[in-house]
Amino acid sequence: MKYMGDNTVAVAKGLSRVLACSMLCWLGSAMAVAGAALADGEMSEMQPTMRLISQPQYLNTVRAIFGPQMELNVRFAPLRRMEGMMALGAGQAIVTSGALDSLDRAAHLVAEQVVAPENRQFTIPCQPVATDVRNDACASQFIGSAGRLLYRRALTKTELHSLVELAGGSVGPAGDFYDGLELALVGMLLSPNFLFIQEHLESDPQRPGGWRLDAHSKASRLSLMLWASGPDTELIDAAESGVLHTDAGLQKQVERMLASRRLRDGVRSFFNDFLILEGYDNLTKDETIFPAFNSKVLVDAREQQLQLILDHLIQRDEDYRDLFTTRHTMLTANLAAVYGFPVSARPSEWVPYELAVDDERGGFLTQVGFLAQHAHPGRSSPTRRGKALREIMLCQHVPDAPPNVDFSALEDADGLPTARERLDVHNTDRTCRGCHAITDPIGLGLENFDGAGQFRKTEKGFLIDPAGTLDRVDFETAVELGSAVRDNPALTACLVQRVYTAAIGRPLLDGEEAEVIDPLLDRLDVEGYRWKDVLRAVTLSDAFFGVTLTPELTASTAKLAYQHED
Amino acid sequence: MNRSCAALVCLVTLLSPVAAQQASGETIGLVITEWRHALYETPGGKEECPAGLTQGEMAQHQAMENSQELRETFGYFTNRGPNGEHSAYMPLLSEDLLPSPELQTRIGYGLNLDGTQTGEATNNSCRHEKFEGPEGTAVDNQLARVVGCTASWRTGGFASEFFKQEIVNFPLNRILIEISGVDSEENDSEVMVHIYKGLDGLSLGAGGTIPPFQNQRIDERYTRYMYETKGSITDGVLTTEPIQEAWFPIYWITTPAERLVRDMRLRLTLTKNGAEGILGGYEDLKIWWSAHSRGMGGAAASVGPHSNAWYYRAAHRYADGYPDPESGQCTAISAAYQINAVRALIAHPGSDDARMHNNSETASR
Repeated sequence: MKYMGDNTVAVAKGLSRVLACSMLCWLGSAMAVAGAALADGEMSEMQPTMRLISQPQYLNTVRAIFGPQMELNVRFAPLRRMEGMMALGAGQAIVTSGALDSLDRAAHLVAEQVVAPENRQFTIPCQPVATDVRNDACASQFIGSAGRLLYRRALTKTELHSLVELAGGSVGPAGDFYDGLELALVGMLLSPNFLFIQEHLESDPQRPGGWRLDAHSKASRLSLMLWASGPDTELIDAAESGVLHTDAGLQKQVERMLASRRLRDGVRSFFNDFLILEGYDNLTKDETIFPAFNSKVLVDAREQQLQLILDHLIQRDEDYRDLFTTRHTMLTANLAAVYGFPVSARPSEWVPYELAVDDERGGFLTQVGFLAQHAHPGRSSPTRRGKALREIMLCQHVPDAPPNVDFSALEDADGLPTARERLDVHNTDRTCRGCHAITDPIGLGLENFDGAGQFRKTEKGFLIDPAGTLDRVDFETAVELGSAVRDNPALTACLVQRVYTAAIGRPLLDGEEAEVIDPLLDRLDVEGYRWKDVLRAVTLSDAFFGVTLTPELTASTAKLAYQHED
Repeated sequence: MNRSCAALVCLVTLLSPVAAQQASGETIGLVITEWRHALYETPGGKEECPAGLTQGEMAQHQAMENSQELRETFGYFTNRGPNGEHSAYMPLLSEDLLPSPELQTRIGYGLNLDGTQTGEATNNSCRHEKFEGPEGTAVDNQLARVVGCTASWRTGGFASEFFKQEIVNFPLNRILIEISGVDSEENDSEVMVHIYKGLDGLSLGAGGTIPPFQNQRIDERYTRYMYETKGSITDGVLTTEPIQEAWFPIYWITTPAERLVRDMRLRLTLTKNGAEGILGGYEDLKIWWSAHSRGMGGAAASVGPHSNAWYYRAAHRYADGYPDPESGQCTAISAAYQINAVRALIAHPGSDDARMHNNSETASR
């Protein structure tokens, strides 16, 4: 991979246009390598899989290497959501010049913080006495150690030499030793070796003629799934020593990572994606209708979903299914205004809260975070809530509304008492009936909560009837709806499928559900769906690192599209 | 048990939500969002201040023959004593050359603190003139006679508006009122009323309003500012029994201080999202002047504008409560404040019970 080093230096020296050119060249080179391999007939089934690093993965990696104080006030371009997950869209990311600008700013922000005088003693492993002269030994030490963690493998001699030269060449009248390190670090952070997660195949000595992911690819796949971050030193060591290819070595690393606090980063990243929480970026509530739902509540409502999941899956180590019936929730003082009862929490503090057994709330679906996200700015929406439940939690597709839908009947429905009567209008229209029959009966189960997620017994003075049916299971209340969701087999099938596909970076292939997902479900139905058990089952399954040598896999290998906007 | 332990027991008892909920019925939480002098005002003050509004320290200073010399020597308009004494700290050493107009109206807002209709002296009050309240009742608010013709305290005035912001921005001003055992918000012959110092800020909503039902923690560090009294609700109006000595923290014109309101009582009209009405009682003159002189006695006295020397003398002249047993001079002055509050979710600290909740309890909040 000789081309990498030159590219990194060019990236560091240049502006974003140079970066754009460099990436294009790099991509071309990568494809050329693959092509050459195909021409040799050596790796006829192999396609390099590539994914753009996500913003959480970028930040978690940088913080793991340089410290939790690293701040990154840059928003990356959103990735395309594919099969319900942006993690899959990362394999088809289009990197525009605008996206490159964000990456460029992020790289400079990080590098500035790393070499800042107040951080040097923690971020740089050696401290030269004189900073106005080259110190290649120290530069090499820093670049080698940081680069290994950023590139998720050891730097080649050429890469290291080029970067040390880059850093040393910057020492002079215009800059000192740390300016040089900053430049080299910017180069690494803008390098495709860091920004793109490329997986490689190698010959499998256990199966002559067969292929397997190489050890570095395995390490990356593991750490990006479990920690939403690049591998740490110990994992790279395990990869380089070959231990990761052994069952015992792999199991040891998985258990170590599952026991780490960094598992929380992985949970946050996965569920942020799974729950489509970026929807909060464009969410507003009408404060004249919901005065309690101010901008602070908006921020906390988004975070509440992750806090509840972290509390349930990590802190309490509970079964994922029970998330939908749990009496526990997480609250802040801001959210208390929406819940309607006080909490003894500091303004920025999250506190666990246990709801009474006969409370109208219970389970994830009745928390303000979910209810407010899937509602209109000024009122609730059984349709949006039902659609979200179907598509997000159960992985079921609800078709979009047809373009010729006639809303006139709904516009005249203001005189009807509650949402149930208003939505009944859909039943008179054949074009509406099909989809709304999928969403509305379950969405109406959450009608005791208004558009801000506040509990209510009535709407316009009329008693709300939340009763309904989910896949032939009747429920009378929102809490019972949660129980119906908890026991729905699609709930766990959806979770496992999302975890698996997010980890391997591509959608399921034909037959893969029966061959991979179903056996995992059979096992977890017995063991239970505790988060660590789910991850353990997925990451230690044969399929997780398996190379499926089928034409379908070849055809579906991740592609990286590059669009150069001049 | 040592004294600190005894105090702790007292604190726990006072803070316990269980104690507050022993009486059956609902609990109403309120947080005060506005606190200003209850003044009868007509446009430009033409009716109640026919001689005009008060002039301030700067005007009084500039009226002095040696004004220029004093300024050059001491630098501030408030240093107008014979030897440059500050008019807020040694008010009796400053003489005003310009008159300060006094309130000339029989109409006023307040509560009847002394129980009389005519303002005759009692064991606990000095003879004074009563105001006629809006409902035709005789009410006490002698402090209004001191501040009523100063622009600063009138609607839109500097001190009034400044303090309005300070109440929102500084939790030192956070006063919580908790009414428990409420069987009916319209009529209930007996409710319990607790007053606490709060700990949290207030969030502003759309249009700069303060949305109701914000979470407000009790500041458990200050038992000094915690009180309990009984009250009743009649036609939606809460009236409390007096609290003999009610101390309130106050962050006033950038200055932290305290108020001591004797015989403090509330008369608040309860609304769906809050309450409004009168907080009345006798302001202890020493405490009041201490706070006033530090918060309003400096540059604010010129902005106000008012004369420190006149305020001090007028306050003592109009003082109508708590006569000194020896001199007979009253040591406190009746005061009435217009209070606005929004409903709040008052969080009692240190109780696991507070983390258990049933929606049915608050569905009719």
